[in-house]
Amino acid sequence: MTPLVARGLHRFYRRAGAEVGALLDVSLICEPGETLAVTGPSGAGKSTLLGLLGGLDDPDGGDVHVAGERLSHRTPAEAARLRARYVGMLTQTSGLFGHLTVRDNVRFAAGLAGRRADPDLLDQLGLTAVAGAHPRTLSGGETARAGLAVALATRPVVLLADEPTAEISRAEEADLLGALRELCPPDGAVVLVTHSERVAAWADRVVHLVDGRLA
Amino acid sequence: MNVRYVLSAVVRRPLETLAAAVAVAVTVALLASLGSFVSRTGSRLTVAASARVPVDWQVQLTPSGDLTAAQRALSAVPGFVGAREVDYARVPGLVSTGPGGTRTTGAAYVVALPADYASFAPDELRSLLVDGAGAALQQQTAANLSATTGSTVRVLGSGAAVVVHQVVDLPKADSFFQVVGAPAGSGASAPPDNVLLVPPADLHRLAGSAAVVRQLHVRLAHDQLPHDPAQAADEVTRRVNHLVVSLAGGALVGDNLSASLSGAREDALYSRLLVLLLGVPGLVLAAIVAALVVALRNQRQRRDLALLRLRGATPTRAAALLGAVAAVDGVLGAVLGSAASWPVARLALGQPPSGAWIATAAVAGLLVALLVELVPVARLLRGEAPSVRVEAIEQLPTRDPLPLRLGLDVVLLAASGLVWWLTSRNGYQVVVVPEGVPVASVNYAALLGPALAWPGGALLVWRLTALALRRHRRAPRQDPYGRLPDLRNAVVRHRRRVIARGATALALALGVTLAAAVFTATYDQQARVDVALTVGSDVAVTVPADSATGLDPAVARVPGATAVEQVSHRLAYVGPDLQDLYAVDARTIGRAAPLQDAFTPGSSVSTVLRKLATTPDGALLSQETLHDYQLRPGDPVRLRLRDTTGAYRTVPFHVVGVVTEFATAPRDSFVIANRSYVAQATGRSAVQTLLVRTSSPAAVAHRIHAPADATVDNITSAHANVASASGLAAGSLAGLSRLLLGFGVFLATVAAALVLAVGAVARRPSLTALALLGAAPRQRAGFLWSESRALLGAGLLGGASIGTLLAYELVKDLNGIFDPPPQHPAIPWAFVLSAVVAVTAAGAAATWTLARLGRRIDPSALRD
Amino acid sequence: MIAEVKGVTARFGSRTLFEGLSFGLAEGDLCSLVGRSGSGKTTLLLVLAGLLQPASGQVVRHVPDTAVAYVPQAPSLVPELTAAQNASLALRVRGEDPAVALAEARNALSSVGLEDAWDALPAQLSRGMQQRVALARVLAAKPRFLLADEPTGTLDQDTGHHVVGVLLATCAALGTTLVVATHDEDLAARFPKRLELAA
Repeated sequence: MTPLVARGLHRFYRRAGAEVGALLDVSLICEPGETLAVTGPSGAGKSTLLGLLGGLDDPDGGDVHVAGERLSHRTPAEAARLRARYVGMLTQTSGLFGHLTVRDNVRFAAGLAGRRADPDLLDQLGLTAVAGAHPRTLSGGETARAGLAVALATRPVVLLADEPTAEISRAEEADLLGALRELCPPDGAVVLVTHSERVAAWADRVVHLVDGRLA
Repeated sequence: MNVRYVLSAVVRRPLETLAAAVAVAVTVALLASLGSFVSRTGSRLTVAASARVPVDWQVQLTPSGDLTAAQRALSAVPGFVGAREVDYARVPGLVSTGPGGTRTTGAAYVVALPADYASFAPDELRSLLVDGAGAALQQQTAANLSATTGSTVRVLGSGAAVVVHQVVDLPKADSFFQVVGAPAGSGASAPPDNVLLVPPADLHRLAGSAAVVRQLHVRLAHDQLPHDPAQAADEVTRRVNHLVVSLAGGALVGDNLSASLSGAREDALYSRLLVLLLGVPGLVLAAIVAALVVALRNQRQRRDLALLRLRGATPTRAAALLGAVAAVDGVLGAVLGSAASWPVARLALGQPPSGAWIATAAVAGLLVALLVELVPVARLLRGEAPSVRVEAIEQLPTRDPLPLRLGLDVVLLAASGLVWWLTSRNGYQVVVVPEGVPVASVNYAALLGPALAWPGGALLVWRLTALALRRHRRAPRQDPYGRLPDLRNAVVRHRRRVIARGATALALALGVTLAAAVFTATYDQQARVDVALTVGSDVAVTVPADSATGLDPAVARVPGATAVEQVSHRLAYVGPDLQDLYAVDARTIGRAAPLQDAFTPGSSVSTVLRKLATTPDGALLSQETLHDYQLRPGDPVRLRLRDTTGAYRTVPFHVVGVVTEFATAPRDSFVIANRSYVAQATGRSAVQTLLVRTSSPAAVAHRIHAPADATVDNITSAHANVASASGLAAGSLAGLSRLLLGFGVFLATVAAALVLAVGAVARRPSLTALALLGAAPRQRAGFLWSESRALLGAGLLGGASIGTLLAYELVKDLNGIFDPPPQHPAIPWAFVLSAVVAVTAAGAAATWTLARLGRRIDPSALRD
Repeated sequence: MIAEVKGVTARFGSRTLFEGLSFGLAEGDLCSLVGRSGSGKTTLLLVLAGLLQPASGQVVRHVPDTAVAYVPQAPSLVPELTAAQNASLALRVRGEDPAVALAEARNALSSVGLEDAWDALPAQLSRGMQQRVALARVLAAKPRFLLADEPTGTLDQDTGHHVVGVLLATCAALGTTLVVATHDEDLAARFPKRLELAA
């Protein structure tokens, strides 16, 4: 079953009275086990695409299917449920609730999907020492890995990541990408938005987004 | 896990939680106190009104009525405490022979009182001279007969005689001798001059063949009555009707209790209206302050919400989680507020708040917390999809709020003005109590005036503030001290809507507080005038009207008395009506008697008195009298006054003007004339009232040695306060005003400090960055001070305006609550000044503190 | 010598970030500061700038405080001022003539490629643009000792390199000592000098 299928995505925004095309006819298919990197200059529409793929936003044209189920054009409640079950999101900023410990963050995320968190997840990401700490006290690398732990907590079919390595060092980046490859479900897919050529090179496939279109 | 989410959110952010809880608590405490005030005042008025009544019912048996049946029916009345049989007969007169000769009175009443009547109805009898048990003479009668204890009095008609053992006063003679069953609205007739009280066994013998009126004086239990005076009055009336029906025409009932309670219903209404007009904006304000506090959380809440959405929380779940956090705030606030309302209500109202109101307020507080914290959630959930990246910059409002865009401020103020103009044409009658109709109705339309004025005024303040802050300031040519005036102005300009919001909250708080202060000061002012009117002056020495012996003015010329005026208090027949006549020295009476232009409608009181002084046979009459007899100024009028023989003689007068109030005048209809003319026309020059002006009433009253039958009264005596005409006991209104004024000032200062704090907290990152650029603390603080100045300035100005408008409308609208109506409102300058100072100080202190806190550069603020 | 670090130790909570650090910075040095995140790069920059006191040791600076500029990770612009006004702040707080300050600010903005965004408010700028405004803000005042914390953090590759290029060129021209903390090895490679914080 194809983890992620996006067909003919269009998205327009109103800006200063005129309609601006953020995405124009973008189609993506991820095979099981594939990692895809989306590169492009700022303002090209990468974040918009990610929002559509994650069901946070509805396209003006086209649709998105995740794990065989339609994700686009759903009621907010249905989209939320599908998101919780199938999609993990790794954001650039912490993506963690400040008032919960790392462990509680993972548990809470799993709970939203109705699952129990994998007890080994934190160990596998080298976060045992800081499991009981609050996000504010974590270093940049620890924050990134904690974010990954939360994203993986629900064993998602699709993992979407927005510039995950922007604020960490090269060594940490290697750690993170390695963990990604190791811990992601084997028949799932990973979509990475990045401006780093190195990260793009790590991925199985690269697509380039320029002015809302796939180049 | 959800529980842990909620609890962690509350526990990890203690300051936010506390601030939100406190904000809710303030709303809860205010609501609980206000609600308790409303219900308590009602019951307080009921209690006071029912306590004022000497005897609750006077059940008069008709000729065919059966005493036993009546007594049986009465014992079945709910709340029945007891009844005493009081019969009386009208006899041709009384005769007494003594050392001075034989004296005879005119028609008299012989009243049979049971032995324990004095303890049954203590307010009806006041013993003056006691020598054993037995017959008693009323004070005036004893004077007329020159009799005292030990004298023998013979009753004309029966010829029987009785020995007098007591001399008493019947302070409530009006109601004692009321014509039971007379239609409502028929004028009260004067109580009899001559009364002989005898034991029941002697009545038959003394009355002879005179017709005997049989009455049962009834007492009811007051504690079981409904709290609200109107409801209590209706309940009592119901019982009366039931009794009358069950006796099938065997009795008529004089219902003193309902009458007194009905009088209180007006006051209960007024107090409720006051709460409505002043309390509601106060509550709205408290809610606004709560919202401001919760806004502190807004940014974080939006972030949390975006994150929840990201993780796949359904809108319901997200709302539930955030709602649960709000609920915790609400519960904490409700608990805090309920606890706080106890000492607050005790301090302000003198009584703890009622449990029912605490519960109501707690629920309301919870709802406020939920509403305030969830409304933005609802908006966000329905609105634009939050991006995967979350905003870090504080969102400044870019449009005027909806009410302003719709021009609601102008609409509301115009509507208020229109209502104002319409109702002022009909006089400011808000509460209408038509004569004889036991129903008070509220002219709610008239209330729309102030009710629309304050929200309209508040919105206008918002608009004007935002407008005023739009001024663009160009950069100066040079700025060597780095004062950055143009940059600070730019910041204020961009934040003008936020500042306007805060200034409006402050203006509202101040305005409501100031209006309440002016209103209560005016009320106090008029209450003092009212008491002075009832007593007569600061100190008054009185003997009964028409008393032959009179008073010697020298009695009142004691140290401390600044002026003494003599008033001849007579009884005069105006047509068939017996009215009080006060003969004064028109030129000098103002020295001791309280006078206001309101007492002489259509002209100033000084003009009227001047006219009286220059017209020897001039007389001032009441509006009713003028109307009834179709009299106009200049018309002749003939009054009948007692002359030296004791008979009534016709004395001609000329109408000079109208008078509605005068010192000691108990009824609305009375006459004022010149003392010299009356003395000359009747041959009696005795003075029955001495009015004394002094700055130390109690001391001067103490120094006066008046004759035995004279009463010395002063405005500080408790008796005077109870007798005051306005039913709202000083305690009630004082409580409400303390409550509102206390909360008002508190809310105003909190609003000022909070808004500035919220702004400063949001600015922390940019101000830190400024520090990193080398900006001195003074320069960084300068940004805070600019905002502070704008907010405080607009808030104070706006508050003064709203306060003035609201106070003016309130005083005019609730005119009926003042007795007598004020000539001009009283402005408590000391309070106004201290409120202004308090608010300014709070704002300045908050800014100063925030500036100091921002002095240190906190490195952790530099991390993301 | 612009600054001398002598035996400086810094802690964060219970962790010791670095211990007994000693080195010197000469005038005109262009340094990168690399290390894993959490290794204390920000802290070291703050200590160098004199904004944070080390747990032990001392830093001796041979320039007045007004000539030291620290650019934090978060841009923290004044939200109510335009980009140009923000950029002119460093000069304005020093009492510079408003017109001169504004002109310098515009120059600085142009140098970081934001000549079209003079009158934009921060809310209208992307995070990357805000960061560039923050840089311009500091450059306009022509500091002698400039410390920048991850200035290219959220910028894409091209812009990031452009910005660093501007920084290097401007500082070289002014003779400003520059220390830039970064985790990006490619960027670090462009600097003549390199400081590395081991864990």
